[in-house]
Amino acid sequence: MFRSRRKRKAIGHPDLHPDPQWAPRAVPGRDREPDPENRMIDLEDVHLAFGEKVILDGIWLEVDRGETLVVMGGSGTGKSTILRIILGLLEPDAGRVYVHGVNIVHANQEVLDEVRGQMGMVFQGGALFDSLTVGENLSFRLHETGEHSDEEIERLVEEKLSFVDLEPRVKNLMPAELSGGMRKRVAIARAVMGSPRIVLYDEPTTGLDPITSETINELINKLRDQQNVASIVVTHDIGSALTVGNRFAMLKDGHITFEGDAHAVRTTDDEYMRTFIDARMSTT
Amino acid sequence: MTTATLSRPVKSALLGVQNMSILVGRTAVAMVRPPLYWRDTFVQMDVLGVQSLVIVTLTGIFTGMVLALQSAVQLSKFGASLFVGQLVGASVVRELGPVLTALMVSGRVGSGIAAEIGSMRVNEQIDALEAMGTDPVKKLVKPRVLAGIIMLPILTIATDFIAIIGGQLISWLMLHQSSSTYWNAVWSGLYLSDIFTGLAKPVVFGFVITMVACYRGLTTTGGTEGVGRSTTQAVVLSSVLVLATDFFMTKLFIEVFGH
Ligand SMILES: Nc1ncnc2c1ncn2[C@@H]1O[C@H](COP(=O)(O)OP(=O)(O)O)[C@@H](O)[C@H]1O
Ligand SMILES: [Mg+2]
Repeated sequence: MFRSRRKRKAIGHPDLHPDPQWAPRAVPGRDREPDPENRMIDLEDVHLAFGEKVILDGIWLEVDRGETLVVMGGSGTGKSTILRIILGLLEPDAGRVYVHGVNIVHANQEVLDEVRGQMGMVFQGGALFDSLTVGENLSFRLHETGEHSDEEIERLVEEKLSFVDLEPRVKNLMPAELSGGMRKRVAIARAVMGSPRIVLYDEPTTGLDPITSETINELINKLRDQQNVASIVVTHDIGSALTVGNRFAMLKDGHITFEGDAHAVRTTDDEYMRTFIDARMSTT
Repeated sequence: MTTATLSRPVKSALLGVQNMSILVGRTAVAMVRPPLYWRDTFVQMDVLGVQSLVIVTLTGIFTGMVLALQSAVQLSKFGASLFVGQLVGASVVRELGPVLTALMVSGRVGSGIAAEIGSMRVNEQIDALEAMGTDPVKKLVKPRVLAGIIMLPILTIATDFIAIIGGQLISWLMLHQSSSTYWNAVWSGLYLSDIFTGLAKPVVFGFVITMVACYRGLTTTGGTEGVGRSTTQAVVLSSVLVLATDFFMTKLFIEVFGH
């Protein structure tokens, strides 16, 4: 919040070209060569501490187009913090954060805005603006940039509402009038208004009943498969994780202690991972 | 003493001052940069100004009446009851009007702003704004600070006027003074510079109140409880700052104008 906003005129956005230093890291345990065209997010050796408290102590993560990475971990381990760093809302103390090859650490405001334009975020509680209608929430970013006509915005709002299986009339409701599941859908609709290439979800099914959770999981998958977006889903919910995830990472004590695909999750002998899965499986 | 030996509360206070200064700087820059968000500004002017009129009217009328009551009792002892208008006018325009208006607005509007922005902070709406490329300083802070700077002088004029009317009511009921006697006394007690200082103060107070409230709102942590804490702190801090800046501005004006 109180980070100074560097203003540097980036004519033709030269900073938006991939960093020449950047070479996408191969995903551990996956056999193909990393493809710079497909690599959407790279976290390299990211460190962050709040005061004395070290939250992230050397995080490496990568996500490709058309892929969903699930990040699991106990409460307060720094899962949301990772998403905030990717959005450029928080600056790490050290490390590099590449969004499609552009390093956003120490990036100026213009580059950040440009990079954020390619991302949609579904916040934990939805983070809908209370004082605006659903329609105004959805069109917020488009109105701010002022590049779209009113008819175009109207059309997009209805298109995105139908994408999340909500009727057009919902746009006239206030966020307070929505159920938990509808709120989440509206939040997803708002996140995809700008047709982002990356979508981040912070505990998308927490607090929802199993049926509603399932519909949210389906939406996450639909978005990945239809629009080929790269997604990161932060969740406690192992059932949801296995439904939406292509790859899984466990965050513990500031490190990624486990990383692998669904098969690796089921057959892991990592003790913490096992306990985490068994504990969650038995409660749901 | 080096920084390493500073105690935690001192450190956090210093950090607070530093962050507050950064926010003030960014707000100042935002003032001269687009977008203007004039609709948000008008909404805030309505909330801060128009909706404060009732509270300001009540404050004014009772303040004027009690001032006139006290001075009527004291001044009649010396046969100087003609000076009631002078006393009421001067104290209201110079001090009580600006300060009491500011304190009332801080209680009513400062708390509202801190609560609103604070709950936006804990519900991640501020993060959502930023993630969508909107600067919360421009979108939330600027309209509120502008509204404070514009509306507080207007509210103060209203308080001043109503307080003087309140004084007139008492001078008429208790001392049977005519309207012209009273108003002549009021005018004779005022310097031209009083009008200036009486309006310069609320501009500064409007800035202080809205700035403190926005700052406390934006720095809210700790969920719903945190919002309550921020709200209280915003009112306490801005009230104290209003009284402190009032003292220093009065001191400055006395140096400049000689009275
Ligand atoms: N702005 C902040 N200042 C200080 N500590 C913070 C801040 N944001 C988060 N934390 C702390 O960092 C840790 C990780 O937070 P978070 O990423 O929200 O965890 P979670 O994994 O539950 O999403 C928590 O212990 C939290 O208290
Ligand atoms: Mg979290």
